[in-house]
This record gives sequence, C-alpha cells and structure tokens, in this order.
Amino acid sequence: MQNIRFQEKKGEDLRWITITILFLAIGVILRMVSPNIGGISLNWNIVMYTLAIMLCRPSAKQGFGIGIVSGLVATMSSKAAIPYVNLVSDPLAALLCAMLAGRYVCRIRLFRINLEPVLLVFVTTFISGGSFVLLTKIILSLPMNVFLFAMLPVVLLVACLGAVAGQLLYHPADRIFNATASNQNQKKFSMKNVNAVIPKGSFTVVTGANGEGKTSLLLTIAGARMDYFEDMKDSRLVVNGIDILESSREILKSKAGMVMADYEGQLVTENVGDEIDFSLENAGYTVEKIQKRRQEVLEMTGLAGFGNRKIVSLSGGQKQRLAIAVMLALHTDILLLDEPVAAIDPEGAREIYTLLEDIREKYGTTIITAEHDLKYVLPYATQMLVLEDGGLKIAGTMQEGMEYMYEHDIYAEAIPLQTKIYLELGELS
Amino acid sequence: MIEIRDMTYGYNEEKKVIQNVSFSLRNGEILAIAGRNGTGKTTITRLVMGLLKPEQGTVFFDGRDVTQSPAAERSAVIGYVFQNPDSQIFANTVLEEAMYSPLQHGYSGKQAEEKARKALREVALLEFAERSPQLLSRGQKQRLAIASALAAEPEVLILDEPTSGQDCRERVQLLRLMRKLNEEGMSILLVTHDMDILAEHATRMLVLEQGHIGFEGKPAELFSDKEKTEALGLELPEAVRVSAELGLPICLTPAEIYAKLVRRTGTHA
Repeated sequence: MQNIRFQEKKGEDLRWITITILFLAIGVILRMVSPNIGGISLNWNIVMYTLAIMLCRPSAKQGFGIGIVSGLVATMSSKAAIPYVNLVSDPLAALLCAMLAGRYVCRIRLFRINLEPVLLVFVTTFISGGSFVLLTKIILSLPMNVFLFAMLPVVLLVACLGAVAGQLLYHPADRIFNATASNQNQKKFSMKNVNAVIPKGSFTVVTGANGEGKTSLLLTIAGARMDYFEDMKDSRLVVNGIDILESSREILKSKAGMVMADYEGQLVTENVGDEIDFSLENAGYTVEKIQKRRQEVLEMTGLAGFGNRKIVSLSGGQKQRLAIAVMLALHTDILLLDEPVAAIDPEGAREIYTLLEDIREKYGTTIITAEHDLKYVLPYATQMLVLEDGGLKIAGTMQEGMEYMYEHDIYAEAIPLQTKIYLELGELS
Repeated sequence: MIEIRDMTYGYNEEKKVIQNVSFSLRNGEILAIAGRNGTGKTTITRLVMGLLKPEQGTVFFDGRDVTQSPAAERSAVIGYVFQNPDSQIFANTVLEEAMYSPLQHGYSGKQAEEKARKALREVALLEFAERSPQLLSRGQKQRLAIASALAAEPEVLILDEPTSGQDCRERVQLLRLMRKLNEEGMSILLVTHDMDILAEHATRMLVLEQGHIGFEGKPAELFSDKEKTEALGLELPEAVRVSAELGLPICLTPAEIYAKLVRRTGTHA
C-alpha cells in the first residue's frame, strides 16, 4: 500500500467549463472594443483564459481544450496574415498555463502581494504570441530582423500590458467566483498519505474514530473504487504483486473478500446452503466443487448441519459467520471485515475472532479488520493501523500501536482497560 | 414504575421467545437486560412499549394495567430508542424530527417546538436544529433519537443497544448523557451486551436465558461468580478481570481500580 489518499468530490465537474466560457466571451467583447494603437492592442482572449485557468485550476488536458476553443475564437476574429496559426499557439500556451497553475509554481509573494496573475499572464501571452509570430515568420519566410526587432518587441509589450490587466482583475474575480470554494486552491483530502505494508498471512486491525476512513480503506483494499472519491492517481496499492487500483474487478474478486459492517445486507438468498452456492456459482465453479467447498466452509465456521436453515432464523453471530463462510468458499487471499462483532454478544464475538484466527492458520489468509473495540482482537492481531485526522498515525505491532495511542492521546479511548492500566502502571514505576 | 407479570410471547407457535417472565423497573433506576443474541432482549422491550402484544401476561404502569393500550398512548410515558437510529428517523430537519412526538400528543406547534428545542439542548444537538438528520454522524443520530423520545417528556426511557455502531468517543458521550438523565430522575431500561457498560452504569440487571430470567440482581453479585457469568453467555467486565489480576478486591469500574491502586501504592510509599 503506497500513498493511499482519497479526496471527496465536490460536484464541480462543470464549473471549469462554465467559468471558462464566460471569460472567453468577455475576452472577445473586450477585444472588439479595446483601442488599437499603432497596431498594438491588448490580447484580452489570452488574459481571460489565463484568469479562468487560475480560478479553476483545470487539468492539463482541460487546459489544452480551453486553448483549442480560444484558438478557434481568435482564428475567426483575427485580422492577422495567417489567423490559423492561433490554432497552434493558443492550445500550446493554455496547456502550459494549466500545468503551471496546477502546480502553483508561479505563486510568488512580494510585499504580501500574490504575483501569480502577473507572471502567469505574462508567460502565457508570451508563449502564445511568441509561437504565433515565430510560425508566421517561418511560414511567410519573413526576414529575421523583422522578427527580432519588430514582432517580438510587440509580443513583449502586449504580454506586459496583459500581465498588468491580469494582476488587476484576478483578485476581484477570485473574490466573486471562488468565495464559496475557498478551499479550491488547497486540495483537501479525506485521507492522505497512508503508507503501510501488510505482510501475507498477517492479522491486522485498523482502528480510529468514526469518519476517519476505516471503511474506505478496507473497501479500497477490496478493490471497490468509490465514485464519491476523486482521483486516486498518486495512490498505489499492491496486493501480492497485483496493482489493485489498476486491475479489473474480475481479477480482484478472487483476491479479497469483504464482510461489511451491515453483514445482513450482503446475504441475499433464502437459506444457508444457497448463500454459499450462490457466490461459487457466480465464480463459475463446477457442481462437485461447489458441494465440496460448501461442506468444507460450513464445517469450518461451525455451521455444519445448518445447510437447510433459513437465514432469517439465524442469530447475529451465525449470520456473521455465514458471511465469512461465503468469502472463505471463494478462497480469497485476503479477508476484510468491517467491525465484525459490533452487534454480537460476547460469546459470539469471541467465536468469530477464534474462527478468523483458525482461518488464518489453516489457509494462510491475510486478515484485516476494522474495530473500535480492541478487546476481542487483542489476542490475535499481530499489527495495527491507527487512523486519525485523515492520516495514518502509526502502523506497528499491537503493543507499539497502543503505546503510541496512549502517549499521544490518539483515540486512546479504544485501548482496552487492561492494557491502559498496565501502561499507566508502567509510568508510575 | 413498570411491572411485567407472567409475560409469554413467541414469533411462531412452536417456539416461545419469552416464557412466563416477570420483573419490574423501579423508580429512578437503570435496569439492564443482558443475555445472548436471540434470547429475547429486544422482544421484551417491545412488549413493554406495546409494539408487540403479549400472548399472555400483563403490563402495569404505576399499578395501572396498560396491556391493551397501544404504543402511541404509552409513548407519553415511555420513550423508546431503537438499536438502529436510521429506522426511526424520517423528518427533514433535526428540529422537525424532535417535534414529531409532542405534536402527536396534541401539543400546539409552538409548544412542540419549545419541547423539541429543550430536548435537543439536553442532548447537545441544538446547533444542528435546522440540519437534515441524514447529515448527522451515527452518534449524533443516536442522540437525536433520544431527543425525539425526550421531547414527549417521558418518565421512562428504553435504550436498545444504544452504543452499537458508535466509536469509543461517541460511546462515552452517550453514556454520560444517559447518566445525566438518570440523575435527573429518569428510569432507564437498557439493553446491552457490553459488560463494561453494564458493570459501570446498571443499578440492577436481568440476564435472559432461553426465554427465562437466568439472573436478576446487582451486577457485582453476578460478576463475582465467573462460572455463572460465563454459563449465561456473558463474560466478566474488563474492570473485574483486571482487578482480579492485580490482586485487588473486585472492582466494577476503571475508576474504582485507579482509586484502589492509588491507595495501595500510597500505603507502599
């Protein structure tokens, strides 16, 4: 697992398009009404799409798209010798602009003034204008002197004018368009930089308060890519050499099985035997194999003889064990369980954890559970991950984890009393 | 306060979940009901509330037979909080949710709002009054469910596994709230299989075993007998186990352990 991070979607998929179109339209109008002094006029198109890019920080691809639209507009409205050159110069400049804006490289402060607009508009206009005149020179085979001493200085002058206009307009525009999206400039992650190695055949517990991302982490390991999270392109998650985030669900379903917190929600058939057959049939096993597996997992989970029982007649602990049996039947390498004992009586809770340990010993399955109550998992888990404030606080052995939680007061409420008292006694002595 | 006499109930003919069970909830106490999954803990609370009709037996409120009165009528006296708050939350805002019960009991909109706001303040949710309940965390939803029950100003509160699905922090908050309500005079019927909560908070406890009452008495009484506790499908609370390990007299709460430890180390010094 490398650098796992989630970012919640903000439902702004079309925002960049809306703002860009608005700004490009304003640019066209301003360009038409701006005075043209000695053949030099401010290139409002470029100023405007640069501002739009700064307001929305689109991806490089989107920036390129903005450039194409602007290029088309410029081609149609331009009085230049070869207007079609705009179709190359604008996309090129907008692409570069989006890349620079996305990385905030121009965000330089001077006397508490953010100089990003002036720098970015200058660079973008210069690239656009520069490439425009360069291509014009090449195509029309103009003399070098004209290019160096007439065309380039004009480009520089226009870039300077644009930079000033950009600097003046950016902050009011930012106020108007980004007031409600003030976090736009700093990406906020629900979870970030979670790095851990979970050895094969280990027993790991993930803990942390509600909302810290335990379930999201488990689901991600299980290969469920959640639509409500945005890109995870910097994240990497490798299980047994298979990149989970890059692989198809077909491959993943044989790798990891998950028992959800609401385990009843994943039981779909009427009786116990059918429930196990159902998943095996879906996985394409033969009848003989299904029968053999069913018998095997029912015995393993203490449900032998329950094959014909109605699922509704089972207790919470039995249903939980059935959900585990289904995953077990698929022989997955990893078994993930989200709060497996939350609604189960103490006896049932112990049985479930003993069962998980048996499974781990017998099949070498890697077990990962999310838990609030560390009491039941304590005798079995070999390592723990503690999540807080959207990040991984510690990954280590149970002892290390709990000591860290205790010392740094990170979700220390979850430390079992026995451990807590010994930790405190340790401090006393 | 509430007395259950000779109650029997079964979801089908062959198997009775509850058989001839009698007990009473006394004024101002926290009575905990424990037992394995499927022994009828929730069923009992539903019978008390009137959500289920007993096949046999009687329910008394302050000596008055209410066996035949429907749940809606009983809700003026008893507040019921389901195990899963999602199953009882339906309104568009937190405030509307809390106002529902007083409105049903015939209070005017203004009075209902007053009562709802008071209940929301009690559970520290007043600041979320205008929010959609669906945006609350699990712990907050649970507290909203309690506020909805409190808004009708009941004398008894039934809490069915109030801490399930909650993290340790939310759990602490919820227990503190339960304790506060109890100290203000509320009688509480608490269903739980968390022995630590039970040991720390219950005045008395009932353990159900195959439709009967397997134990009735004070937590300390049961937990000093490890074999009996385990035979009933329960386990010793952590505090009891740890105090035994440390060679201390039986302690029901972490606070007791700390107090005794300090005393011991104090005498050593």
